[in-house]
Amino acid sequence: MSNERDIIKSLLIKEELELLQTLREKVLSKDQFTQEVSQVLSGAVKRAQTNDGSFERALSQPIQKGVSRAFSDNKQSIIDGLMPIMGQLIRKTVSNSIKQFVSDINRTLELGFSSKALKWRWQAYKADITFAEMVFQKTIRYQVTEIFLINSDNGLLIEHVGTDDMLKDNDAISAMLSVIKEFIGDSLSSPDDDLQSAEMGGNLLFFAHGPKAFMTLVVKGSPKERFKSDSQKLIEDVHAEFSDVLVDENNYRENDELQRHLRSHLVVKEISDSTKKTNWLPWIAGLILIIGGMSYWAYSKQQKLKNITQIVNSIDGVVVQSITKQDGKFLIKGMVDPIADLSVLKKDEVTLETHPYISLDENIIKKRINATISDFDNVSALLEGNRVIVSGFVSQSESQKITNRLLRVAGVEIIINELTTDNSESIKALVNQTMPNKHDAVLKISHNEVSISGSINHDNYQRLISQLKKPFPDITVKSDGLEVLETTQGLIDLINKTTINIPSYKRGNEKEIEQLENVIKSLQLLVKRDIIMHLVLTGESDCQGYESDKHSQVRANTLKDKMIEAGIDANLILTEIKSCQSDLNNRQESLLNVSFMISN
Amino acid sequence: MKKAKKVCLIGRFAVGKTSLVKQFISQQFGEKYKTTVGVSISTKKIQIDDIELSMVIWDIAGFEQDGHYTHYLRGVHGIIWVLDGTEPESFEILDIVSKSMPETKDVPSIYFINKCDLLDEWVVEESAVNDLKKEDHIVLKCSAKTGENVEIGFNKLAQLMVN
Repeated sequence: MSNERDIIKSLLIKEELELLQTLREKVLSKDQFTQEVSQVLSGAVKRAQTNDGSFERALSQPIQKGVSRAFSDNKQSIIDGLMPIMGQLIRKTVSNSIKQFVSDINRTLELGFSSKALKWRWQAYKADITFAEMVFQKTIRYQVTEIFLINSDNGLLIEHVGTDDMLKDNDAISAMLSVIKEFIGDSLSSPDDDLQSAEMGGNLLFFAHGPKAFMTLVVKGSPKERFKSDSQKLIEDVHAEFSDVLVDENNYRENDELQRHLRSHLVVKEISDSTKKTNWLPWIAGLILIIGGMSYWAYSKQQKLKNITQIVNSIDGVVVQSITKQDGKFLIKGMVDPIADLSVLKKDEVTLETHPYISLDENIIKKRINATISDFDNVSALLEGNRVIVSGFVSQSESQKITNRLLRVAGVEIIINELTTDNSESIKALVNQTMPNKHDAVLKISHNEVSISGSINHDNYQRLISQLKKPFPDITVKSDGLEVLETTQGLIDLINKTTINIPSYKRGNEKEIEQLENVIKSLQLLVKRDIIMHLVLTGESDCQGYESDKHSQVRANTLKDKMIEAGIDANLILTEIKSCQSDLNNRQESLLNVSFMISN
Repeated sequence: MKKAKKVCLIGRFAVGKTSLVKQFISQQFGEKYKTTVGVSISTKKIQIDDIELSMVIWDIAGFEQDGHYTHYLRGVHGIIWVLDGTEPESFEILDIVSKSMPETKDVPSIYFINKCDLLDEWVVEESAVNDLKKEDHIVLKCSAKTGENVEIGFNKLAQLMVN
């Protein structure tokens, strides 16, 4: 019976039975049931929410327990998940406090009116930040020179930005930083602690840790306390914004945006904090000294150049093209006449790079002329413009030679030859021929001049002059200091011809004195020549008036006395008178005289 | 294309880990033994097809101390197991590390049996070598002293890491 019932059942309600079976399997199979429920769960939860909050109340306990359980079982993942948010939460709270604090500072700083403060105010206004923030920025005492972003697990370098080109092997550095972090953490502290910083020399290594990566910042200087929090903020930002990059090793060091983000946190500026007033005085003094020193140096350099330029320009025969300073000396380029006098230029101050040239400076031409005639002692030349007047004593052949030489001198166009032929040798020969025995005469012959001194026989003298004048009509004869001596007969004739008219026999006039002196001289010469003779003085009168023969004698005696006074031997002198002629009726002064006569 | 991979050398003390690295990096060998303290990092760039691969080599010291090395093996891309052909005990490290860090089995690896130049002192039997090879491992007898198979081994590992 039961079989038949089953058969009928299966015929009548086969589909329903199959559906029931399916449903049973779904309910009884946990996996399938879970699958079914999960599909409607979110909808059911939505529906289950009531206005009275009973559903939430019902859920609160399980959720609370579940969260506590999750914390205790899997603390790290909860922390990792919360970390990007928590930091921001905390900062927001702290930021508000700091804002208040900054506001207070701002008020204080507002009172400052230094030039720096004014400048910073302007910069703060342009940057749309508070003055206090600008002060903070400007008083940074540190630099962040390198930032390494490193995978926390394998120590591979994710990204690096920096200013130091010496760091070549960034892979090794990032691995070592990872090792250091692990090693110190492993050796010294609990596993939950992270290495925060390390210091070596002038460099600080700051570590900021995140769940997937950590950052090492290389800092020079003394960062402020908030630097740590800034670094932590940075790693959190990186995790929040570049989480995909941190886990994709294929994109390590190829993300420009990440690089830019990190680079913006490099701090390369270092400005010292100056809360004290800057003492400008030494700086100003130093600046003045420097400017003064430089000015003086430039001035003295200029002066030296000016001096050397003046000196060089003043040298005849030098044409300057340029003067420059080279190797501590003045390099002068230009042209120099070979006979220019460069002795004023000191070799340790000046170097010359010159070409020779022929100068037409007047002084140079003069030098050239003098050099040309230097062989001739008695020749001189005078330059007047382009004319040369040459004078002096030369032989005939030399005269032409000189003229030709001078015409070849550059700058000389006209020669005025005033050279005189020097006849001194010829004259000497003639004098020797004419007067082989010069006796007391001294002759000096130069060029065309003969100077005779001493004493010379009158006839010889006349003959000499005559002989010299014939071949040398232009000859000059100087006879200062020469005594030309008369012949014996000439002396006798001179004496015999002398009649001295003595109207007043007591006083002699000039003419009478001269005449007498001549007679005395001549007589002395005769005496000197050992001529034996007597001098007869004959007195004469016209016997008119008081005149008589007696006066004739007196005249003669007067002259005799004068002659004896002059040194003539009295024995040589005889006196006589010429008797008066009685037929004279008029006074004849011409008869009032004394005549002289030499007798043996 | 540029890539960087972390390679760790695992092996007992004095098996020649540092010497192998030195041979690979600078083709030098020092007779004196200086124990490595902590970790020694070396890098070398090699070209594999169009990839410039920077191998960051972690020469980790003192695998006798239990567990301390686990930090250093985190995120490793390639492992060089260094065994000493004159010291059979050096093979024990394989089990020790595998047990403490089972994930190392999935990391591309090669096995250096070092000191093949010391023929008189070589004690490792061929069967032990074959056992390793059976597990599809790349096993190379090498010498840090002569350089035999050193560069070949590192290059093979690099190939495995890139592929």
